[in-house]
Amino acid sequence: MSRRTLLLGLDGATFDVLDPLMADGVMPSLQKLTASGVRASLRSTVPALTPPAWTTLVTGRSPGAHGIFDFFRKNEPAGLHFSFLTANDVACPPIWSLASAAGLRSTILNFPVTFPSPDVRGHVIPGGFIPWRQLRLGCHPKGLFDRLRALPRFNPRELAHDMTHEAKAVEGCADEEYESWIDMHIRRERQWADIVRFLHDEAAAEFTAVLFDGTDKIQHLCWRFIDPAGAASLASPWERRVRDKCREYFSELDTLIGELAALFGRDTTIVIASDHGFGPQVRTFFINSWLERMGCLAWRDGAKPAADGPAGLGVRQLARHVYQLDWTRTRAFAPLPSGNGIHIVRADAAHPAGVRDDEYSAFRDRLAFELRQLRDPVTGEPVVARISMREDLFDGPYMALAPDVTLELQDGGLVSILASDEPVVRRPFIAGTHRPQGIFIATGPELRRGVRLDALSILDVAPFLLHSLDMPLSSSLEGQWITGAVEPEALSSRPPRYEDGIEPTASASGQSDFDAADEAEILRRLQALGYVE
Amino acid sequence: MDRRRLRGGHPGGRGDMKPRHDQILDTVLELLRGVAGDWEFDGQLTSDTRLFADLAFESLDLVVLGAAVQEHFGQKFPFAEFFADIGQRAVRDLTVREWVEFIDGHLQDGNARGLSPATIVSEAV
Repeated sequence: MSRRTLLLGLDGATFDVLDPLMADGVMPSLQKLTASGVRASLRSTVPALTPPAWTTLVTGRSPGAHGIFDFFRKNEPAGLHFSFLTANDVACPPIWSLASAAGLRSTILNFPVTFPSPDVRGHVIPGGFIPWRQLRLGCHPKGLFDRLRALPRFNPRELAHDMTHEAKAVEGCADEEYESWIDMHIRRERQWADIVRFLHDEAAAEFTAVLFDGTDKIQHLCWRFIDPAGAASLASPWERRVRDKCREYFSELDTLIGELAALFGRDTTIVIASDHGFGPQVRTFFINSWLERMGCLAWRDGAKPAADGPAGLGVRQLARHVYQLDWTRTRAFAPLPSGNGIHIVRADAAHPAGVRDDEYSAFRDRLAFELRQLRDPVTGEPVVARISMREDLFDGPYMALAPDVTLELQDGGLVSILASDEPVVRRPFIAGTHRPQGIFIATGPELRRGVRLDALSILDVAPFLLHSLDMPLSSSLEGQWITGAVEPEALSSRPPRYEDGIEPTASASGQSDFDAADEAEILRRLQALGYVE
Repeated sequence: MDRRRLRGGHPGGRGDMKPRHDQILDTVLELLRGVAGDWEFDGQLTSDTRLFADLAFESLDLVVLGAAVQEHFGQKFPFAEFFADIGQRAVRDLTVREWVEFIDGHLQDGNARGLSPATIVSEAV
């Protein structure tokens, strides 16, 4: 007996913003759902970044296992080139593939790393960096894109990725563009809700998941208007208008949440989760300029990419490093503006100045030591909060492709890979950036009401969703089933069923609904999907 | 574009013998024509069409189109190297002809390598 389950993803949502909005009456639906269920902060992955975090949430596996560390991944351990990560690169089955193998239908909308769309039972519209021009290619099944044209508000240019809009989130925009840009995100969220309703009315899936990502984009650009701590400093009429427009976005989002909750009804388990939280970024760390100052990196003559403003965090810089760096003199570099990772160049015939195997550990330790000494030039605060070696974060089959060193900055920010005369620069205005603590809210017929749980790991969500769908839990799942979320009666009447890998084993209750034939069929389908040899 | 075609239903798709140059061109043009209607592009799509200047592509369009090509042919292509080369050009653009020549030059003969996650895991170890 499967239970209908709805996952509402709010990219980058944080209780630091949502709680005051709920208290002010801006988000009454979310407040009602929160009061009628359980809530907890949700600890993200390192890095706290959309592709690894959502992939972890929907697979229940860590980045080292599923292989998604960033938007892009190095092609070869000793290589310099990075490729866009696709659904084919996700090495662990997401919930929708497991559900499909168990004969359940899914509707999956706007999740990252779902292009090319997985061949699931149900519907998929990919999210992440899928340009609107290519959206048709990612829609599953055939004909879905054209069916969506029947929706009065369907506009692929605003539904999917358009770089002219997306870049503004991290690169900024003119003052007069803020309000129309936020309006575009309101229209985008309405479109996603329209699609959920449309597909639900056609044939309701057992598992529906939709990701609203305006929360992330708007908090990046508009943090100073959203941050409750900064509300009093918004003095100009324009600032107050942008603040009100941000609140309008959250109010509209709340309306959509309420409408979808009503559509799915009280028998549905509803999970609202984010991939990471948000907070202010006060400075920019030009990491490649710091490496240059350390004597670890050199630009080719005339190729130094001057920062076009202190932010400089856009995706347009990708692959620049290949031809802008002097590889005869570069020993470490940061190629991506998203994952805060440093890659160390290993010595070989093509890179004679690279780091030899026998000096690798010492070189890496020296980098870490020097990074810990780095201070904000104004406040004297440490710039780097934590330094992780790749074996700490990405142990698994893809570790050799991962950054050698990953930083967590003191202000939670993302590094810039551009060049600057000074490696650490105070930002002219505070932007929003990712924080490790996201949100988890769940409500449903078996769940406790009005309960605050201790902080959860993002790894814990997949087991919770699988159990909600009445599916067995694989021992490969790395998180814990969220026992404290469930009413005691439900816990005894429908405890989680565990399986060893995909082999049928006695469930915790000894009353598995899946017999050997069912399990064999699931195995066959997973093999067909390529997840099991 | 029919998803099943992306997965190899077209001549030259996954598992077929290596297609001829003209078949690859047809595949790429069909791929572009399949989505060009969504952009309200009403010009001619030919081998001389420039992806950036004529179709107003952004770099991400090229990246995702590359992923679709990989899915169609069932093998990985060194697109990252290709895109880096384009980035160094005086005029950063790419014609359909160049795109097809690149695919043709790197397309494996027969039994193209599958892209299943399990395959990738086993090869990455």
